[in-house]
Amino acid sequence: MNKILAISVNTFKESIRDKTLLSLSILGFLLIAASKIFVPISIGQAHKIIKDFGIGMVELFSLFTVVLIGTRILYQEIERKTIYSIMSKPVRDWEFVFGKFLGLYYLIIFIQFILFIIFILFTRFYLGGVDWYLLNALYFFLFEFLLLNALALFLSCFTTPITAGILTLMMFFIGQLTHYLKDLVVVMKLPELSPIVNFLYFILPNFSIFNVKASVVYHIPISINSYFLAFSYSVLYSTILLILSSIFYSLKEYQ
Amino acid sequence: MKVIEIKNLVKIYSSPFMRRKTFGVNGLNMDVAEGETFGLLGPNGAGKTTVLKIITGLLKPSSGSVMLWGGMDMILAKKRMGFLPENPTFYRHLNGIELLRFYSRLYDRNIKEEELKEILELVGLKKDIYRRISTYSKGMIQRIGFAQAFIGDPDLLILDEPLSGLDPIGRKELKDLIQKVNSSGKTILLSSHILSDVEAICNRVGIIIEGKMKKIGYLREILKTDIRYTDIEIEGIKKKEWLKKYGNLREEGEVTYIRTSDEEKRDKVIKLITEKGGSVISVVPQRMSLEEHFMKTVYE
Repeated sequence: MNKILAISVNTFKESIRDKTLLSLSILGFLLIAASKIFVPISIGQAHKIIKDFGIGMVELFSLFTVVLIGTRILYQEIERKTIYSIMSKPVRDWEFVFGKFLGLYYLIIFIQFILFIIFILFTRFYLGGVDWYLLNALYFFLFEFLLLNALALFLSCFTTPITAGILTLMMFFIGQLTHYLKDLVVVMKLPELSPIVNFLYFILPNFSIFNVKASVVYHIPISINSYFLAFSYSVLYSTILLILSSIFYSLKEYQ
Repeated sequence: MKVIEIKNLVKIYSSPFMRRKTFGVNGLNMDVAEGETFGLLGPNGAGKTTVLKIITGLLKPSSGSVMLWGGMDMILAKKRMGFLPENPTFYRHLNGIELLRFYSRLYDRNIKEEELKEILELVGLKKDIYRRISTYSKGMIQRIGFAQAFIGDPDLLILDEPLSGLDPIGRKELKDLIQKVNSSGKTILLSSHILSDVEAICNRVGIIIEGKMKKIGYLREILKTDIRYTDIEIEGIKKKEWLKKYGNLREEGEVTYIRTSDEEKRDKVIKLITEKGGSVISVVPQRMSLEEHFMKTVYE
């Protein structure tokens, strides 16, 4: 456990200095602040638009972090040859993969907390009060990006960072729509496609279970089951992906 | 006891999209005994780094076997070995002590901060403990590379081109350090292009060419086998012309040298000079240097 912790803390410290992250941070802040421009044109819907926009920005910014930094995190170690001094020490492949995963996850948690603080402060000053119900979105984001992080790491085990980035983005967007797959078969009256659709529905990550934006913005109560489902689905799916990543990574050689 | 035992090692590099296969190592056999300083020599692309990477578990062999301490589990073996890669790179955001602290946490046992500071002092980085790695010079990077290899007090040190890119002072200091570490009983396996350094440090060498071990043996035995000529320094002989039939005659002031090309002529000259009342001041056999041996093996 000590080894995983050491690798994860080092990964976090290194990632936080990444120039891409700095650029994204500035962009994230500016975009949250930019939601103010919608106030004059929102015709009484300012509260909802600002909240919706702010939550969307936190999600988008987290997505960019995973795609731009997360998919490079393993590749970089090999590219810069820092891996030689680590893997020649008594470190197992899975310990390295879990360490890198956790390091990036610390970064995502850090970023989401910072952006949420900015967002909450923003709502305090421009909307006249803090909406603590927004924190529900943060809970679901933490598990959504736990899964996306594991997915990005898994894909980067056998592809280049660019391919892994594109695939992660695709999976993220497809994952928001997987629940429509089943409806599609019914609507299009194609029962013969049902086994394939069921397989895809089962295998593809379902990111729609983390989507509580509307509930948060409109203060619609979220059921306890949704909280539990988000937690268990994310942890279970991520664990499977990390085990697979470790297996793929153990086949790698450091030339 | 044999620390490293390699049998019929083959490493094939192949690309999934290309049919061509390249042999990194092709049927290599070698072993390194406890306490030895073994030098792996070979031209660029001969397979030296591949062998070292297979030993350290960074590469997997295509066939053949590599046994460490008689077949010890790789993770256990890694606890007893330190590796300095060729042209090492380290995390630039850390300083010297932070880097060693990070690596020390990759071991199961608790390594004290004092121990890490002692290692940094040993490699000559005492003043630069709190300096960022990004500001280190090439020589300092090599030294911190040595330091990370020393963590955990390993019994076996594997050093890939440990003296490359260093200035003469740095080379001398690190050469002394390797000898000091070896004298404490540790086993060292190193690869190097700098043959004079290998000659000074190692007691056993192996020459790899195209992935195969062409020559292996104790340095003193390899060098002893090929005496190119012997320089005999003589005094007290007035008429010297007769000596010319035994070798090349050279006079430097009062001193005369005769260079004989074989042992028979050498013994005869020594005997005749003594008989004629002269004296032999010195007899110096001129052996082939390791560099000459290396060149000879490469072009054989």
